[in-house]
Amino acid sequence: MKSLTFQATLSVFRKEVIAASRFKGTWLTMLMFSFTTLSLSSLAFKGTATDSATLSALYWIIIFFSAMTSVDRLFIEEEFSGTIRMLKAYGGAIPILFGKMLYGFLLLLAISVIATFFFIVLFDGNIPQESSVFFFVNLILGVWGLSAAGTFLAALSASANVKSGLFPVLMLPVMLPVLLPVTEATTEIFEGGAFDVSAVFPVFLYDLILTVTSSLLFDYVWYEDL
Amino acid sequence: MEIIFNNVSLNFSHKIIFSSLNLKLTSGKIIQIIGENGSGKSTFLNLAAHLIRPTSGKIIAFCDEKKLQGEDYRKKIAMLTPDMKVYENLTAEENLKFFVGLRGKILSRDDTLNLWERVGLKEDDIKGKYAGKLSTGMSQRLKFAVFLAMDAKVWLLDEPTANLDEAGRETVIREAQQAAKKGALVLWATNDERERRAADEVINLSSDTIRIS
Repeated sequence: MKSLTFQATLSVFRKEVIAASRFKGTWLTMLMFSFTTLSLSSLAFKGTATDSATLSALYWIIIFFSAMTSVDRLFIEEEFSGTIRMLKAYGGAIPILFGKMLYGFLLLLAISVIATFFFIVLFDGNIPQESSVFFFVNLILGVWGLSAAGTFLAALSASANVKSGLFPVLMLPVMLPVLLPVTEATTEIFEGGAFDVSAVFPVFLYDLILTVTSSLLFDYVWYEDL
Repeated sequence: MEIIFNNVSLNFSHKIIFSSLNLKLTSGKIIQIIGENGSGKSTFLNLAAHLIRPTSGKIIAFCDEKKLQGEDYRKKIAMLTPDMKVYENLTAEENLKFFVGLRGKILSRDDTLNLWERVGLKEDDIKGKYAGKLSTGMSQRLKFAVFLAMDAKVWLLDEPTANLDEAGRETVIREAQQAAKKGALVLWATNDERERRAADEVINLSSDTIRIS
């Protein structure tokens, strides 16, 4: 049974990748958003020394809004194209949730890595060698939280009667417990801080709770309102 | 396979769709669900599929006297309704493999070719073509191929021959009859007189007392 769920999850993930490779709108929008925001910010600051806290906040604002433009679409596009009925009839709740969550996570992670590259180039920034592990762990945890909460809330808002506007309204309060500590940790990283378990463990715990809670509640979101 | 509607009631926004419905649906038959537009034929199938929950009462499914719930039950079901759509930016074969993959199954090349043949699709006509480029009839046949690929014990058909030509209609009737003979429970919502001959039993949702006849 477990392997069937795993196969089904992979099937959902594969479908998302194929669809994204043919309809490039989502990830191109995310990339353009990241690049435009960073370029504008870089020009506005005009090379003036910017403190780590400001840079860290800017970095996570970009990742957060990139997530808002991508994860939001995971279910709403199924709803608009009419494929959600087939998906509900043949797909189990858990494989659909985790397949889409995995795709959202990897897409957002890829975009974040590219945005980091832009960030370093445009702001002449540097992630100190001793902080690199801290940086990647922190990034992965932040992206995990965004994709876990985002996937669940996207399904919830897609099945709601009032679709537009619901996702961002729900997303911000759910994401604050992730965004605040990861932004703070990123400030530490930009200042050369070494890996600090106490900074990332609460985020890890919250991500885990988000993922488990989503999987427990998703059955109700998925089947109740058809 | 057996599906029991036990005192099932369903309301949508203060409108009563079903009230105290008691039915026992058993496998090996084609049971057609008929009734006027808006009488609740599609809703009846959604209830039978456990895709919506009744306001009160229970819908219980048994397979070999074992009660089935949740995913275990849904995995026994295949469903075909007019508002179901395949992915337009995937090819016919990718769609088929994806939906079958959702049940954790992998189709061999021979299985795929066999399914195309059963639903009357020629591989040359669909090879490499996105589903969005298929004609409405071909798209309906593709959905029926997905449906057949599930090898389900419970067939839930909602106007399955819509957009199909005469040959397509015959294919659906033949497949449904064969499935019923092999022990599947076929629930078929229709208002098409030409499909009535396929029915072993009928449930008329427009009548005052809803029962199997």
